[in-house]
This record gives sequence, structure tokens and C-alpha cells, in this order.
Amino acid sequence: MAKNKNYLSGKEIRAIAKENAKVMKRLEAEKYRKADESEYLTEMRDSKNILEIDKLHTYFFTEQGVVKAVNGVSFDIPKNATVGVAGESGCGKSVTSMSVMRLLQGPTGQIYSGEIRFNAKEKSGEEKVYDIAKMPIRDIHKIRGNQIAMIFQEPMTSLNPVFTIGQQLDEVTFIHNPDASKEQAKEKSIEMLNLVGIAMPERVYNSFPHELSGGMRQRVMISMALASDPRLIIADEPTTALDVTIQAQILDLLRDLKTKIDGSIMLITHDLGIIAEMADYVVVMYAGRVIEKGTVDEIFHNPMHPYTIGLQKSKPTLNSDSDTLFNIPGNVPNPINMPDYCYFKERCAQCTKKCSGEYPEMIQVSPTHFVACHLYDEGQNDD
Amino acid sequence: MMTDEKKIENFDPQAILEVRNLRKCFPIKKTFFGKVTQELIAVDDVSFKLNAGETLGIVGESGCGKTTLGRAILKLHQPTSGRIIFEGKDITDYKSADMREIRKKMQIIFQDPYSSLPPRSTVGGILSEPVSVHKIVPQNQVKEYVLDLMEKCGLRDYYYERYPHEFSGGQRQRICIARALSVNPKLVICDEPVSALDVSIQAQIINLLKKLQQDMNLTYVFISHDLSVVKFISDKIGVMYLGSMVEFGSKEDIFSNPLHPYTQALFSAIPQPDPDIKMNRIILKGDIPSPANPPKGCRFHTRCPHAKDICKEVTPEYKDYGNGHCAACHLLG
Repeated sequence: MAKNKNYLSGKEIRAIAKENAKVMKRLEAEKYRKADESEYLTEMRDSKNILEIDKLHTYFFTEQGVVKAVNGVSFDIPKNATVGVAGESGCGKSVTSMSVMRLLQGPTGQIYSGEIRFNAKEKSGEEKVYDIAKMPIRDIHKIRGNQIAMIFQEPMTSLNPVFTIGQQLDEVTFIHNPDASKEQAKEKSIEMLNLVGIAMPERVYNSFPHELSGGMRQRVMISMALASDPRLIIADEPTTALDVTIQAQILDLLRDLKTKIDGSIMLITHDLGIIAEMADYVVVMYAGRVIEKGTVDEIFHNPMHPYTIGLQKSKPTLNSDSDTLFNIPGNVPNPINMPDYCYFKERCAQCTKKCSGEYPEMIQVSPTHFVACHLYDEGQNDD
Repeated sequence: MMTDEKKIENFDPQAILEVRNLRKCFPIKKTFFGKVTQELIAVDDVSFKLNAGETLGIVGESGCGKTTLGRAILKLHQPTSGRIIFEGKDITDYKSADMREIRKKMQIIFQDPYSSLPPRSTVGGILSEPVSVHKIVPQNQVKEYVLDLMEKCGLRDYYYERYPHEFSGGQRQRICIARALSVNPKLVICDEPVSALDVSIQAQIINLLKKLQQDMNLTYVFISHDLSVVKFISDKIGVMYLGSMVEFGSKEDIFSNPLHPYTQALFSAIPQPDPDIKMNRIILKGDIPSPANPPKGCRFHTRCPHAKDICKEVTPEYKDYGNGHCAACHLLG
């Protein structure tokens, strides 16, 4: 019988650990270094964008080998736009957002290479472009929670159970504005709670997280994210833990807020329905790579990558009447030791000879529509 | 078997499963002497009939009692009151020894495939056990039978010697399905079988369930919070809210003509994967009230956009509005 790939010998594990330790040590040292601001100041490629992710590689150095969770991801978030990132679990969509926030669990999780350019606005009003990927961790507070805020998936676990909502909300104000008085902080917190549509903000201000329902907690999380007037909100599956009717409330709130705060939203979800409703631009990810990106119309009316097409067909909708669902055969590949060829090859029905070759490049189909598939290699647009 | 079989009134010989006024309460507060002072009514007065070969979809939000209903049908929870009639027998008061025979005919598939398989048994062991216990085939044919079953469920034969941790979520759910079907059941309760899975895997499992239903003439009770999935697989649909069934009917009736305001709101709340559809969304205000302390009158009145004074006082009657389409709402007259 062939050697079982699922098991490694002790010798192999030690070799991997030694190799990993070397890389991790270098990256950790870089992360904790002291650096001058000029080291990580850059220029935006397009001044209309608020965030540009360029060939980002985020790896996890595990004992079984290197997991390339994000493997060369590039996309932009324009100002005042909602960008939806879609994909199945394990495709790297959350790790991308964690990389932007620099919240990766070290020393295993590291940004290996790539650039994340963010257009920050200082208090004085001038705009500065930071490369988040190169920033040392001690300077990250200039951006994290301040210019970029995040709404997490689990409202049940992301609030601290031993402090009242008020204490947790005030803390945001105190951190980003140390001169504020207690009264000012409270006023600001209550204003924020009002903004997210909480009926009795005074009462919620004094209550503990366990006294609130899931939908209310998610509203509190959103108000916390808004407390520092961020330019970009990253919403990582904001409604997955909620019921449909509550989900509708929260989505309605997010749409409303985007116009109010004049910022951008990066919406991460696996639900294509939410993307269709909320997003202006869509990025579809598969196994750590972007396989297709474009405007919401392009992705839903003219999907090109076989995976995007399959994903849309395999979701039952209320308006369709068919007997069997289309299904994509097989499973997502093992993230360790990814093949060189297209990751979707084993599950794809339209494979050609070329697919066994190199990983397909991003091909531009229209000014905004990109796809990574050999089917569209030459003679673009004539599929 | 029970000898003093009670005569069942108004028995419908076509129905494989009939639930009459089922009620399940859980005690939440007791005095020192064990007297129950406060109860949580998880399932309140639910009735329906299901014919052989049909699929009943039960939808509702979390905490509406859909899982408790599924478990009460299997008698994994003893119902507080009401009747469960399965294949013409009233099984409500069966003792556990009598239930063993019935369990062969009714099985359950759980939501989380990661925690519902024993980690220390091989797939072969997991699937052989129910077959041997219930003596479905002679002992020397068990392996052959199990391999045949695995093939039906889309599992390769060399998985027989493997352990559950070696499989992905979709494969595990296939093992769970194979285990439930190993005793040739008539009725299978699927308790959110696809909600823990990814979209592309979800489609595989739903198609498998549909194929197996045709091949083995199964009856499903399909519990889910995802309306699109329920619409795809069901013939009949029951909508639950805070423990009671607010609407019940055939799929066509429910989707083309939802009667209850909650059903209407639920349908309009689902995001559609098409940017052109701009739905006239009904957004419900507020949260679901606590089931331990449900509102008086109609339970939905706190969130209902059309609530009237009568809704706050009187519990609406659950009535048939033609063609088996039932609903409980004052607005329907």
C-alpha cells in the first residue's frame, strides 16, 4: 500500500518544525521591531480606493506543514463601497480580514509577503497611506479599531461578560481619545447605541451582555465598531449566528449606516443572497485564492469561473422549481501541500488539457471583471 | 408488544404519522419538595398528519421548538400531553422495551456530524451495530449489507476500516445518513442535517436525501431554519413560532399564498442571490420573546405589523382555510 499521506513520521515532523522555526523567528522579529513611520508609508495605486490588498500571502506554520491560507490575494476596496467576499469555509476569507487587522495568532500565523495599503485620515485631516503588512505591531493602534473597525461573527463570545455594555463602549472612546471625560464618553456611547436602533439606550448602557438577545448584542458590537468613526468596517459573517428575521434587521441597519458614516464596508459571508443584496463589488475566493472578482451584476449575471457558476446553481432559491440541485462533486482540497495546477481541477466539469499545467493567471474580461481560469485564456470574451 | 391496544378515533389509514395536540413542557423552577412552579412550554398544541412517502418541512427561528417537536415524535422526550400515532398505533404511552421495535422504523439524523459519531469506532463498526442489534440480516451477511448501504450513500468501500475523524463534514453526514438508514426505517427525522455544511456540500447531501427517499420510499420530517432548503425538499410545510404551529399546508399553498403575517415576514427576510430582485421587505421589529414567559394572546402580537386589540387578549384558533391549509391568526376572520 502506498504511504499514507495523512501521517508523518517523527523525523519528518522535526524537520518541518526546524524549518518553520527559522521563518517564524524572522517574521516575529520583524513584527516586533521598532520602525520609523517613513518605513511603511507608501502610495496608493488608485486614489479612489481606501484599501488595496496586493498579492497577500498569509501562512500558518503548523507541525504538519505550511498552510497557505491566503495565497496571493489581490483586490481593492473603493471609497464608499461595499465589497462582498464570498467563499466556503476554509477558503481564507476570514484570514484575509484578520491580516488586514493584524490579528493573526502568532507565531504560527504570519503575513509572509504582500502589501496591504490603507488610506488613513489623520485627525488633522491629512491623508496618509500606510502599508499595514509592513507596520510593526506597536504602531498598529494608529489604524486598528480607529480607522478600521471589525464586527465579528459571534456576538455571544466577542463581548466581555464581566463588564457592562457601557463600560465596554466607553473604553473605545477613552482609548482613541484619552482626554475625554466620563460624561463625554457616556454621551458618545449612548449616541452610538441610538444610532444602531436600540430602543432604550440608557438601560442597555447599564446592562451586562448576558441580559441581551443575539440581535441586540450584534447591534452593540456594531455600535462599538462605529464609536471611533472608522473609514472601513470589516464585517466578518455578521449575521451567521442570527435568525432570518433578525438578520434582515441587521442588514438593513448596516445598509443604513454606510450612508450615514460615509465609509466602506468589507462584508465577509458565505451566503450569496446577502452579497447580492448588500455588495457593490464581489470577490469570490476558493482555497486561499481569488478566483473571480467583479461588480455584483457581473458576478451574478455573467459568472465565468466554473466554481462561481456551480456555487450559484447549488443554492436552492425560493423562485426556482427544479427537481435536483446542481452539485459540485468532491471536497475542498487539503490546505497542506496544495498542487501547482488549478485548485479546482478535481471538481471541475469543464477541464481542459491546460488545467494540469500552471495555476491560471487573473484574466481581465471587462474593466472591472477578472477571472482566474484557463477557459478564458485567449480570445477573451468569446466563451 | 402491548396487548391492550386502544382504539384510535378518527384514524386516517393513509397517514403514517399523526400528531394530535402534542405538548411538551420543561420544568425550569421547582420548590424544595420538587413541585414545579414555572414551566417552559417548548411545544404547545401541535397537530398534523403526514402520509407515507411525503416530506414535511418544519421551519422556524431558534427557540421555536422545532427540534423538541422532532425529538418528541421519536419519544426521545416524553410528551407532556397529546398523542403520537405511528402506523396506526398510538405510541405515546409505550414503554422503552416496546419502543425498541418502533425505533427500527423511525430514525433521526442530527445536525452536527462532528459530535454525533463515536470517535473510537470505525465506520464499519458504526454501521454494523444497528444492523446486528436489530437483526436486520443474518450475522454472516452483515458486512455485505453494510458495504451495499455505504455504496448507496456515496461512501467508498475502503472507508469501512476508517475512523470518523478522517472525514470531512459532508462525508460524516453521509455516514450519519447511512447509520439512520441501516435499519430500513419508514420515517426519518432530519434535524437540520445540512446547516453545518458548506453550500456546495449542502447540495450533495440534499440530493442524496432526495434520491434515497425515492429508492427506499422514506417519509421525512425535515427540520430546518433555511426556507429555501425546506422549499426544495418538502411536500408539506409547517411554520412554527414560539412553540406553536402558526401555519401548515402544502408547499404550493404556503409559498403562493402565505396566510400568517409571520410566514409572510419570514419569506421576505431571506436574501435572494440575485441583485435585480428588490423585495418589498417586511422587517419585523424587536426580538423573539422568551419562551419561558410568552406573551398573552397571540404569541406573535408583539412583533406583528397588523396587530389588533383582540390579538393581545385572545389566543387565535388554529383553523383550516381549505385544502388542509391551516393557520392561527385573528386577521383571517
